[in-house]
Amino acid sequence: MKRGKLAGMTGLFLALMLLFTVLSRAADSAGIANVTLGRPQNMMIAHEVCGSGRVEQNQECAVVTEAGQRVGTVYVNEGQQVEKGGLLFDLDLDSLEESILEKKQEIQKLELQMKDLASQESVNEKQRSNAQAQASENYSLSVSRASASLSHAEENLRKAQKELKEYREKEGVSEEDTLAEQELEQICEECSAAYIQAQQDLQTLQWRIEKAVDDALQKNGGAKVQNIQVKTGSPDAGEVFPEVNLDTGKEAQPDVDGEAEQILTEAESGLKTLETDSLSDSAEPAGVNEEDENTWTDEVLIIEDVEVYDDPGNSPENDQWIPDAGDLTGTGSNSGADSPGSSQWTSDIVQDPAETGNGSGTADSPGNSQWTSDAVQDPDRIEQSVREQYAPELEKAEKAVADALEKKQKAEAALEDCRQKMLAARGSQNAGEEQQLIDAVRAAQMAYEDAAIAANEAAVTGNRGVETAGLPEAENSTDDIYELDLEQMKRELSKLEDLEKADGKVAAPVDGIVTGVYITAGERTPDSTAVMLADLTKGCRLTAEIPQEQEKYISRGDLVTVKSGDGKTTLEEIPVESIAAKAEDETVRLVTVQIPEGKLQIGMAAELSLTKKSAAYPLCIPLSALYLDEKNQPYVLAVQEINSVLGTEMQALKVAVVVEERNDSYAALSQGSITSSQSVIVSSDRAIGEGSRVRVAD
Amino acid sequence: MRTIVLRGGSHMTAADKGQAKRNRKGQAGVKKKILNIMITVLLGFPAAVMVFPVLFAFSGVFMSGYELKQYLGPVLAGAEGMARWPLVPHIPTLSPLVELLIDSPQFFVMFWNSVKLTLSILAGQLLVGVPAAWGLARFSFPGRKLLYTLYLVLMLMPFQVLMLPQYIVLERLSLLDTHAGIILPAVFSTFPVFIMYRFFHGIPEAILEAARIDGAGNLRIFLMIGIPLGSAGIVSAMILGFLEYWNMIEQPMTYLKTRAQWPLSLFLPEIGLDEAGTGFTAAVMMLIPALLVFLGGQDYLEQGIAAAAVKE
Repeated sequence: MKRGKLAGMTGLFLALMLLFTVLSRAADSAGIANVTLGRPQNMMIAHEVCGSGRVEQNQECAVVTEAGQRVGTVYVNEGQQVEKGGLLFDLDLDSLEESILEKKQEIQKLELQMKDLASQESVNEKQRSNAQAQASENYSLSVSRASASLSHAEENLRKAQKELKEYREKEGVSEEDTLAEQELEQICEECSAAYIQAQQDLQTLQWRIEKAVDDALQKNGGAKVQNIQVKTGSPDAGEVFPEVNLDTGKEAQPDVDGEAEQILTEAESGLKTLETDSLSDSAEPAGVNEEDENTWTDEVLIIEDVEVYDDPGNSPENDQWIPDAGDLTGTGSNSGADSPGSSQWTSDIVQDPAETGNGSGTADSPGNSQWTSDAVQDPDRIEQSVREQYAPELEKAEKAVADALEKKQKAEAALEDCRQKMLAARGSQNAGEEQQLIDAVRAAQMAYEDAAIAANEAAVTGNRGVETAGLPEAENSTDDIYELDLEQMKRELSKLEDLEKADGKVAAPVDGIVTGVYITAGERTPDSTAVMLADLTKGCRLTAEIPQEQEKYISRGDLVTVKSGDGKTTLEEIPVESIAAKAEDETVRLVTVQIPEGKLQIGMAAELSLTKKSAAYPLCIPLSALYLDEKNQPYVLAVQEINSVLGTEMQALKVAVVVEERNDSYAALSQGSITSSQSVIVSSDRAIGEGSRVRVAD
Repeated sequence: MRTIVLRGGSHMTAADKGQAKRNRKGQAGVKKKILNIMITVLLGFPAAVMVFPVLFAFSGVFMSGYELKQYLGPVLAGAEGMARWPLVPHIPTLSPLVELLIDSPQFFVMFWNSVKLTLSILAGQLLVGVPAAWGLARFSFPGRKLLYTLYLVLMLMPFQVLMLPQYIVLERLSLLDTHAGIILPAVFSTFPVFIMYRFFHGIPEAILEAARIDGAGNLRIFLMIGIPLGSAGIVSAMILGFLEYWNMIEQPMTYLKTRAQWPLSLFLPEIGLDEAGTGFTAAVMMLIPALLVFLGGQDYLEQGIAAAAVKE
């Protein structure tokens, strides 16, 4: 190859290199960011809190008129300002007059109804007192009749016994001979008394079961209604059940149980007595005395007590009972055997309400609710369950009756046997006559027993009748209700009349701005608001929305500047009344300030602003100098000189910083990471990052 | 390293060709021809192995970054498998070239640094080395032999031995981190003096005697007779010097801190796998001046190498 050619090639190569040197330099410098530097300054960070909103009324005033009136003319529109007493709308006078007339007629009608009601009440009252008197009369009559027959039977018995005694005396039978017989007779009488007692217990129990079943059924039929009925002492309930048990539901149960228990105890004690008696039969024949009759009466009376005890709701009636009982005592005094018992009865009755009070006191809602929850049962099932509850007691009572009967029969058989033996021993020819007398005594004894049982029944039944008649009547408040209605109507009437006097015109109650009109000419007035007014006398307020992040720079009592939307009015130093979160937007806070009277109009747009300055920070940089890295940590870019192949160049250097406070344009940095003499990049003509080569603009 | 290998490759290629030429000059017998072919094949194989790195660099110039990563990943980026190198890229592209020429001003800074350093050193060696060689070759003075031996010893010393004393001296002279610190020690290098000494020494004494008789002074003899007759030695020393200083890497790495002063030889170590394409392109660019110089001064180079091989 020629040297000259090689030299040319070398020259060309060098020329090309030179060209590309220039080109690459140019391309490189085009890629370098031009930046301006700034030093951190000592300054305060000002926080501008700014929000806009609308001026609102503090209070609204609703104008309401009588409902159902035809509106004549509406004089105001929404947004219109009205003065106090200014006409809002008027009502059609014809319609008003009509209403007044109607109202008057209604009042009249009501008054007439009240009058009718009053007369009806007095008639009812009379009927009731009559029925009660009747029942009392019936009761005392049947009781006296029963006691009369009882005493008659007793008399017969004594007579027969006496005849037998006399006959024996006449026959010359010695006292010693008949001693055994007398003892046996005594035992017989006791057995008979026990039998009567058991029979009465059984009757009482049966009646109680029936009552419990009826109660349960009725409660199930309509628990709520039942409650009312029971409380007011509904006559229906009274009619069906002579002894109205005001204890409801479960509460009734323990009572009934208690009663039944008591009865049972008594029956048992009776039985026991009987047993001990029959045991001591032969051993101690002389142990029994004449007080037996009294004991028997007492037993009967105790049963009566139990019945009264059942009757807590009837306490007022008990007062009435006393005279009745007195009557009874009077009628019962015919019989010597009855009289002590009767007096005791009266006192028992008087005492009872006090005891009963406790019982009724506990008869309250808990039981009711429980009962109600059970109330949706089948009636048959309820009846069955109630009966099942009582079944053991009933069985016991029946057994007691049977036992008593058996004992009585045995005792009688023993007596009979004894007598037969005596007769046979004496071998008298008059045995036939004596046998007749003995039979007569026995017949009298049986008649006496029947009469005693019948007397008890009469007492129980009669008692029921009296109770029923004595039930209080349902409370009747119709009268009071009518009175209240009347009062209300009169008030309405007076309002209508006032409206009429004002020619049907409705005026604004306060100075205000109409914010809502809910009536239309020709339509009826609604039940609710007719016209809504913004009350001007109560002032107005501005509620402005600010972003949540600005919330920390504003607090209650801060003085803010309020500027009206049109920029004409500026109010300085208005204190912040409240700051609250907006219900529908969590990121917005509502700042409320009170607007001084007359400064801004309701409905106006306005702006609220507040500049809060922080303490002075020594290192403040413009926000444009602050960058965030991928971890959201703030940093600034300082500039450092580097020796690169291209010579000394400026390179951006990342310096992590801690921002103490910032606003929209400046950020305050904490000391340590940079110093006040260190320049940082505050602006750049292109995006730069750590390590970017930069050229510092002058 | 690569360039050193390249130099070796060129050397072998040159030797190969020289031998072939000589063979041709010998005679044209058939046997000789067969022998020639056999020798060519025999020597061609190692020659191809030597040339491979150059081809490697050339194909790399036209390879995209993605392809380069695929092939070199196992070696340079710890990827699995074995490195491969196809001589023809799948998707040939000029982007590495464009990137180097347009987007790498650093390359040009270094290129011109290299040019500056190399030319300055060569110029200095011309100024200092040529008279020194002439003096040693043509004048007799006491201690000449000792001085020459000292030159030889210094020439044989590797850079690693001289590095520390040179560093201390340069530091004292405040020449560290300057181009002068590279240029000055190289200017006073003994190797070119040694090369040129051989050529000046070979000029027949009779020619110089004739000049003296014609009334020429020592300076005139040096400029008019010595330099023209020893030009082959001067050129070969310059070519050898160029190849050495164009590729020098230890001195700048040791004495230059400022990157802006670095020569092109330090550009390549800066290149990573991401810019492998640029690296290959830069290597090729670096090869071009050396190739041009070699082509221009091939004859002189051979003479210089032959001269260096003969020691007195």
